Amino acid sequence: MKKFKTQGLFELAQKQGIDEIEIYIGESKSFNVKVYGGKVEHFGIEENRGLSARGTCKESMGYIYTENLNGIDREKLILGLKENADIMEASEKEEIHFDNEKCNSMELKNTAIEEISEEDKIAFALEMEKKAFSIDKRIESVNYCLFGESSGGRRIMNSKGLDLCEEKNIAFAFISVVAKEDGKIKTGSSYTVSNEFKDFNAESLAEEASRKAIDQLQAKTMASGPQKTLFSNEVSADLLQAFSSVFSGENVQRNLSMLKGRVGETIGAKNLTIIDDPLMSNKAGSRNFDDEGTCTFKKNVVENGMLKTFLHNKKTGKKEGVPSTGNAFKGSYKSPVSIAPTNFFISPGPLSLSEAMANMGEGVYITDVQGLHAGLNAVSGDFSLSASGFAVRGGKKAEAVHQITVAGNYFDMLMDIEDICSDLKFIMPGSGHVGSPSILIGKLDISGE
Amino acid sequence: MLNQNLIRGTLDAALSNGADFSEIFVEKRSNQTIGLVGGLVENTVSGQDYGVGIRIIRGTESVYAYTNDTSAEHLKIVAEKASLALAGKSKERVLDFRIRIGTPLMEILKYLGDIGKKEKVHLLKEAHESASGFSDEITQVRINYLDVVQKVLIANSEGLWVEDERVRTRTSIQSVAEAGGEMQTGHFAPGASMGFEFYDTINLEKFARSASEMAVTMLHADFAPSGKMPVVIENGFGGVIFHEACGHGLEATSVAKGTSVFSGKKGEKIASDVLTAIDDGSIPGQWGSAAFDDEGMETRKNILIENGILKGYMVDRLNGKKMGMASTGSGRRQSYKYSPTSRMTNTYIAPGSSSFEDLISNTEKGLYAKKMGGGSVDPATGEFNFAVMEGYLIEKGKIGKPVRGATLIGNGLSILKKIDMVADNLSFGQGMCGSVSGSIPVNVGQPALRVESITVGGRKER
Repeated sequence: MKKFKTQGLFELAQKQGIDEIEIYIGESKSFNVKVYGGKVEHFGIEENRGLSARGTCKESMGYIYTENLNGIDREKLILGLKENADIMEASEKEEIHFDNEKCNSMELKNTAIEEISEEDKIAFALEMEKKAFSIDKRIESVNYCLFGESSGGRRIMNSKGLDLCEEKNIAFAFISVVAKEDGKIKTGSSYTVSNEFKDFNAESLAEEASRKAIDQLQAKTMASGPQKTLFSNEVSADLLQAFSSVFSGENVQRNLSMLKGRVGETIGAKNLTIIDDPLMSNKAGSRNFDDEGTCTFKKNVVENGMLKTFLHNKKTGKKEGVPSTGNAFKGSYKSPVSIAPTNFFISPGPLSLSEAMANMGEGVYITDVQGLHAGLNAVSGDFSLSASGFAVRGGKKAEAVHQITVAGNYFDMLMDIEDICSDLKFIMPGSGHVGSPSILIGKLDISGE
Repeated sequence: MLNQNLIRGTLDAALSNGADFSEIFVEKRSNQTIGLVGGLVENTVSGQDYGVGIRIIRGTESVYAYTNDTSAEHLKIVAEKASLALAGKSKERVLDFRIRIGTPLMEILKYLGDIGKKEKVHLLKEAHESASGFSDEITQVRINYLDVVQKVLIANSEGLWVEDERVRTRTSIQSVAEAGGEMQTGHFAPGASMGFEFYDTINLEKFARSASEMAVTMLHADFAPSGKMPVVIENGFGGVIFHEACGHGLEATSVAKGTSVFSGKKGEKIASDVLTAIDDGSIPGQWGSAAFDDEGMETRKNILIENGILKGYMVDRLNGKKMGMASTGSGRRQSYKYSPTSRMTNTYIAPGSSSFEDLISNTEKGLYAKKMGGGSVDPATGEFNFAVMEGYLIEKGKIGKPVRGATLIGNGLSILKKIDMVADNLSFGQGMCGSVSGSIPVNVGQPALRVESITVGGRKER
């Protein structure tokens, strides 16, 4: 990442009555290709760069940002920052820091993947589409098939002397297929996220997406009532991601988390351990320092069912009387400093999926849920989600089920985890990169007929 | 925003390696957000988005490139790089521009940038007071205000030149009620394509009280029932059922590839006789409105379904080409970072002839879904879901006890035939719709209606 010349911006800010100021620059370059019908359908070429400043004025923090880096009007920027600081009333003051600590310097960028030609990446996407059609005659179309990669960086500089910069890259592939049989239509999808090209396997992605669609073609709904429920690794990770905000110190202090005041207490089954690890190789959530410049580190958030810590930034840590956990997070350069997990996952257990099914005997194995942004309330913990998967009978996977809902309360559910499998998987990165193995829950409410 | 020579040069560079069409989308957008937690301003950010998107089309292939660096040299480099991705033989030339400047569908009376931040905070504090004072059980109130002034310039190689300005504001209020170790929430988020005068036309404090009332009601409510039953869905945001069950499936984005359950069904009877559905981006002041779409086409009223018969789709330029259909003014995108595609604007079900009371009194046993959340759909299968945030049992033709949230699921094609009663009380609700061209403001709308049978994802056996 290029060095950004502050060119007297800090001095100007201080002259205008801003005590401390921090500049945050985010930039990225991306390439993606979508294929359809054996041809390239769409190319995307993206360059993004933006700058934000936060600064303290009369002990209040003001924020401002711009994407017009060629034409920054420094006077206007500082005036806007001061106007925003002027209306702030936060009970706990946000501050600018410089710890002067040496963070880990894990390499997050793999330049090797950038040296592979665009032609090879296009060929990969075309191969993925072709394979999908060759797997089964019932694959009617491939409605999304794409490969993309992105590299970028962030730089944080402040008037106290902080100057940190980190670059990373990531690539992803996604395929979604439509299967059809006897007028019945089902879709299935799969993806890979990695910065190593060798991790991208066209055949296995096509196979996985196709299998998911075909397996559901003959699905039926099922009777309503409580059932033992086995969530697949992807579904359990979806739920953990949707509820990850309950571990945020900010939400706890704002009285928006049911976990407030419960550090040191049992909040989950004995076998539940949830880890936040920012220093994993080739993982989208990895970072050596957080968005306030605090060095990151691995910690157990939940250990054998006991809540060990919330995730904190400087401000929430100070209020709690603990150090920052290195989880300060800005969604982008536009966003204020908040809190998010890094690589956040349920620690895998000893069982294979079939062993977990043998243990459950009768119940339902949920492999897909929809409507996570709507049918779920992170404050109350309640969820009711459209779902599909398989019935489990006699300890074995039986017929496919669809058009059902699965409902319960996440906090109750964590206490009711019976088994944890060994098949840890990370889902597509969002705010944080979340993973889980498949988990067996004592009982959840299923609605169908 | 950028001069004609620069735009012409960029469009020309985009065609330099052979293409049928090139387009430039220049966006300058001012954003202001203010967040109150517990009545105090906890965060506020303002800033400017500024970028350029360049799209090139050859046949049905497209390239989309964007950048924040809008210098003449850099735009030329980006346009040429993009054009290489589509290298072909045909070479079009850029026609003379026919310049059109959009006039707002509704006159802006109080320009958002002219209103002091303290005046905005004052409005939010009043809303906070109303929400937090509603009950002792209200333990937290979060209020998020946003205003946006988006200036766009859209020009293309066919000589189209459109400048438009979109002004929008929205305030969301979330109340949290707590008792006996349980927490429940209530939520309202009114918004419009208007200036600050929007808040003169609504009673924000009433919305705030309603959010708290909902949270408190839900705190003391039982679980929703489970299984298939008749459901009466409230007017306004209840329109999310049509948005998910059918709206997405009528977007050319999925119709063009033949992967929508509604592909090839134009002219067929797909819904019950009582159902007429419309998408109209030209309604003055509404949250999903704009004078022009994001491809520079005038927005208009599109009849999607009339008395149960599928009349038309929502079509953008590129998918229109694939389908042999003209644009319906439905090309939309979140920002310069997205290639446009067909999207909904203000989508609603037209009023019917029943009264709301008829709907309830004709239902022996079922669910009255009063407040809805969002939802989603797989357009290929038509399987959709949407959330009920606040419900009531209907017993013997009367509204009974409140019940907590539950998701409603179904299949678009079959549910449209099961809408058997439509009331006469049309209203709108505001939402953000996420899809391939990003997250965009949309209205959903409907009069209250009844679905004779739908799966309710509750937690209690009937």
